[in-house]
Amino acid sequence: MKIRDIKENQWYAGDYDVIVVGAGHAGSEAAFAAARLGFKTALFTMTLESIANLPCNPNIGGTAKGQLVREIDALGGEMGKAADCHTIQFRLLNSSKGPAVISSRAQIDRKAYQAEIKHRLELEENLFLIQAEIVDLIYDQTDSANNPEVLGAIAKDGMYYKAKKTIIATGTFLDSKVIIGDAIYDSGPDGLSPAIGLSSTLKELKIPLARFKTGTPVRINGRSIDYDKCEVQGNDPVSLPFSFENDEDPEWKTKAELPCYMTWTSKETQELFMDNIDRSPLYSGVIKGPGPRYCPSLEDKYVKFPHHERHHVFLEPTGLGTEEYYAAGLSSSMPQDVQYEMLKTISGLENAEILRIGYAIEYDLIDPTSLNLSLESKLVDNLYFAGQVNGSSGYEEAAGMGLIAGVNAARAIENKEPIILQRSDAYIGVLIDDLVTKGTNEPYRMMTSRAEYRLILRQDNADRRLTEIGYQIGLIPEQRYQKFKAKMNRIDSEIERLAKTRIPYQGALAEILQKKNSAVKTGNVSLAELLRRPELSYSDLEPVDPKRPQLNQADSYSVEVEIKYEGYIKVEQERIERFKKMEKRLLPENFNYSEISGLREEARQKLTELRPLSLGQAARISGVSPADISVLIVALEEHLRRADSLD
Amino acid sequence: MQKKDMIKHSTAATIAAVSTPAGISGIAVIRLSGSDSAEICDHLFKPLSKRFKPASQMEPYTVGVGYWYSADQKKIIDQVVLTHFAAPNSYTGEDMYEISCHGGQYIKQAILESLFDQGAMPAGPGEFSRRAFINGKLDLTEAEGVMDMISAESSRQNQVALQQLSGRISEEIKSIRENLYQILAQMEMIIEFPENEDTPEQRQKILAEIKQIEKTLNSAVSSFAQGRIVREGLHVVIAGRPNVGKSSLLNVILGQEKAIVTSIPGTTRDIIEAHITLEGLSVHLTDTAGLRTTEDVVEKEGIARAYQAIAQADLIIYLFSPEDEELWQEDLAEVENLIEQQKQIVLVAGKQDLPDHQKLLNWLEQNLTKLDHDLDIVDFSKFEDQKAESLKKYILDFFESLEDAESDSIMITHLRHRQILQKTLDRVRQAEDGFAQAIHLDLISGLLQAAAEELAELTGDQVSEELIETIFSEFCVGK
Ligand SMILES: Nc1nc2c(ncn2[C@@H]2O[C@H](COP(=O)(O)OP(=O)(O)OP(=O)(O)O)[C@@H](O)[C@H]2O)c(=O)[nH]1
Ligand SMILES: [Mg+2]
Repeated sequence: MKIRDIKENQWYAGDYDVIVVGAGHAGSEAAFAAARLGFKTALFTMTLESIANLPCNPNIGGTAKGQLVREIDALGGEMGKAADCHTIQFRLLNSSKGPAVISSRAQIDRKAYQAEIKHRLELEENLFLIQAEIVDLIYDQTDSANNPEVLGAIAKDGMYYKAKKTIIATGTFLDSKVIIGDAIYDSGPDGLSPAIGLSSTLKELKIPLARFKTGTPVRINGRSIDYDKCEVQGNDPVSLPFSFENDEDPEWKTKAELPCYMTWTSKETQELFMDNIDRSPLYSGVIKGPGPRYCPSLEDKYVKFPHHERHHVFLEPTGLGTEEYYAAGLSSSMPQDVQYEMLKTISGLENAEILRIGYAIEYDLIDPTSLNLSLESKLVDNLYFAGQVNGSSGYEEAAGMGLIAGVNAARAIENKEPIILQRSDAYIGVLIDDLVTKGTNEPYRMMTSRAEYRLILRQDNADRRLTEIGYQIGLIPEQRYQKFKAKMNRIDSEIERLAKTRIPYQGALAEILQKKNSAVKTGNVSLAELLRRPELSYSDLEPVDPKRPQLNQADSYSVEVEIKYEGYIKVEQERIERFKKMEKRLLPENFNYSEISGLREEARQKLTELRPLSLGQAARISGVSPADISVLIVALEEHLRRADSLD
Repeated sequence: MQKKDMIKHSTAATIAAVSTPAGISGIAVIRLSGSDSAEICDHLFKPLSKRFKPASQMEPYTVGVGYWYSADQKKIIDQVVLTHFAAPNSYTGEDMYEISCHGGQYIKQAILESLFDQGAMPAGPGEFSRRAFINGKLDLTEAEGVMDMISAESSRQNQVALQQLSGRISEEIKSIRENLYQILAQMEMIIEFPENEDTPEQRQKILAEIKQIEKTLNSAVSSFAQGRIVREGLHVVIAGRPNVGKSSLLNVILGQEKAIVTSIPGTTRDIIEAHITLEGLSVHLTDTAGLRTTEDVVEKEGIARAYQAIAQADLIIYLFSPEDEELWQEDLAEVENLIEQQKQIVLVAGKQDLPDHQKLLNWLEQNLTKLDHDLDIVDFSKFEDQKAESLKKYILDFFESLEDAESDSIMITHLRHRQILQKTLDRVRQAEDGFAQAIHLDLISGLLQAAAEELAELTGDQVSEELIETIFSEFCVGK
């Protein structure tokens, strides 16, 4: 085997099973996973100070993202546990909108969170945390009939590291540029150095690259905020942890309960922006990469919704030992002077002092459709990608992919099948399938509406959905697994008990029902039936249910949801059955799509290029129509028949 | 990385089958489809004169006249007309020939055999259409339409089949589905974003739109009874006690002495089936053994069969006779029984020429009021052609009355379609209930999502293997 020539001044710095490039949320989870599965793992970061950084919003969770964090935790990841240590405000979002979309969101003590993850990484067996900038990959491309093969990575200081598998988790750092008005310069987020060099290696390897833009708002010194002019948004009365390990800990509580503050932009803000719109790099043509639709900059909002006169601004604390506030809603890449003027037009921020200016950042990403569902590249062997470099946005999305990439890189070393979560298993499954199957033309943010089966993909049952898988993978320790089993038992037997226990309408129950405006009938009724009534809750029935076991808050919530929405859950399960049939129909790797004349040209091309695993995945490729799929079904059957008759 | 040596997908065999219905007909058509068909025909077909070219040199869409030889080229089987359809513009999308030969069983068999000897394979059920489908010539609802056309017996059937073939059903269902998705999108805006509130006004607006969808679905589902009848024909069963004149009635309507008529009660033992077309509506008429308690083994079996036929009937002609007044009460009990089974019944007061007829009518009118069920009474006499005409008219009117859906709405003829629509309707109704109970929007959206997915399967916007299997398994050989 001929390794590409190692140049002068390059030194061999050791052999690893897995190398992870970048110690953000994706890279950290990837490294934790690979190391915990017993593989010698090197995790590279340009600076130890920027591990698990939260360079944008200082919170973890939120709609659909809370679910992601719970899933990561159920699989044995780290994000939830670390967040639980440093939550400074907790809110449960969407509780009035229904069980499927209820999501936890925690404001995070940012510096403490980073230190937490760093410390946990340091403590991990098999994990080698190394401060070095990876600028190039070692790869072997001698056999032109096959994919090139990555053999390791080369750091800026000339050290080279060999590895069986390499995971790229460079976030928004690849050839990144910061843009503030007309000021454009090479930089990563938060004034960190950009990663220069790796992009050109990826280009050499013929991995298709694209360029996205994202942005972040100003940070303000709290001392200069006029809080009296803002609305206070306090902590929710009850805080919930992300980690299932903390669910059962009655002692768990948030580190602090800091308030957030809310204010509004004004007509003057709008005028200011519209007067200066030609100075916005977004509209002057300086920024070419598309930005996130669901997290638009303020100038975007004014241009796209000119009739919305005012917009929310949330002032979120970023930690305990700091006065720095994150001004959510003011994301902008306007020149500094416009951003200063902007604050003067916002109630409560008239005298606000800027600690960090808002900016847009442009960065390289890879086309995620060049990946397999395992997150391994289709074009280069032994190379995996995770996190924002795959076109996503958000810490939670990144962490979810990191975990999967770490697991699959490790499993590949042992020739084990990759772990591929289905869309009906987890948001992580939806996320990866969406990116890999459909690609994305803006930073992909998770939303509950992207999941077809969100009533099943709840945050309360992430352990039920995934902990068994986490255990099989080897990321859930035995003790935790036993606890999990016991919990499932508790919930299931309580559900059963409620279905079996029948009580008379007469007496105490009648009183409760009358109070709740709920129908009183004659005879007996099961507790489960009562619980299915929209107007009644589990706790309402406590007085008439003396045999009720002591359940913790998380357990009783799950019991309630499972019973209350049973009918709806069943409908969703039926849909999942149908969905799974198509996912199980695997397409042979050597299937020659160009021979199937009933396929439309576009479908033929896409299928040949993307090589979907299953009929189900094929059906989700844009450009492959249902008519193409039915043709494929018949063709697949003929193919199998013929294969049979050849045997 | 694995080497991708491609397996060639579709070097499908050339297939052949008789495509005209089984049985003896004047002309039969044998179809041949596949890349080898020209070569095969060249070997077996010799043009009659220089005016006609050998198969492989025929222009697409031209015909040749010539002799068809056995595979050893020693024997002429028949003089045939050969039509060439060139890929990709043929029915299957492949190279095709159609051989029109004389309809005798021997000739058809001999030609098929000559083709098989030359390497053609016998086509399986629906294989031509399956190929048409793989090659993008037919979509799924069109395929179902083709199937109906093949078995269409009457012009009404043809109309519905044509409607399906042109994708009208798909169009209508698609628009229902689009509406569903619009509603879902509206709901999503509220559900997804914490800053958007779930207000009663918005709920009202969404509910109104859901109700509209429910209405459309409902009328499509109720068109099914009629739709199915158009497809399968109307089943009319003549029932009554022995000797009341059932077989006579059948004969008069048919205009043909099909059933034996005697004055001996219990003449008809077996089921007698006949088929007529009334203004394009296909009607299956069944005469049955007279209903009574009997020890006769043969008659007993006949009566059991009569009840089976009754169970399947769309309409029962229950015949009364003015004779045997003492048995009318028993007749009425039988009728009540049928009503309980939710059967559609028309009472026919027969033998109108007999003196007691008016008495029968009076008695019926009196006793029917007790029944708490409106039944029509029609007079009949086997001696009056006019009566047979009114009875036919009655049958037609009965069919029209099934049409409670607006006349320009879609007509659902397939059980599969009806089942899917019913399920969709159930989901939409559940969603409506959800609004009534002020259920969370995310739950309601789950139901509507399920409804939309059901419909997608109907229009082919979502496909499953079962679906495709079902459709092609209903085809017959040669299609
Ligand atoms: N006068 C008169 N006689 C009729 C009429 N219809 C039938 N009959 C006579 O009634 C007798 C029985 O007729 P069928 O048609 O065999 O009666 P059925 O109900 O089929 O009898 P089963 O087969 O025995 O059940 C025959 O003698 C017929 O000629 C009618 O309209 N008027
Ligand atoms: Mg008879």
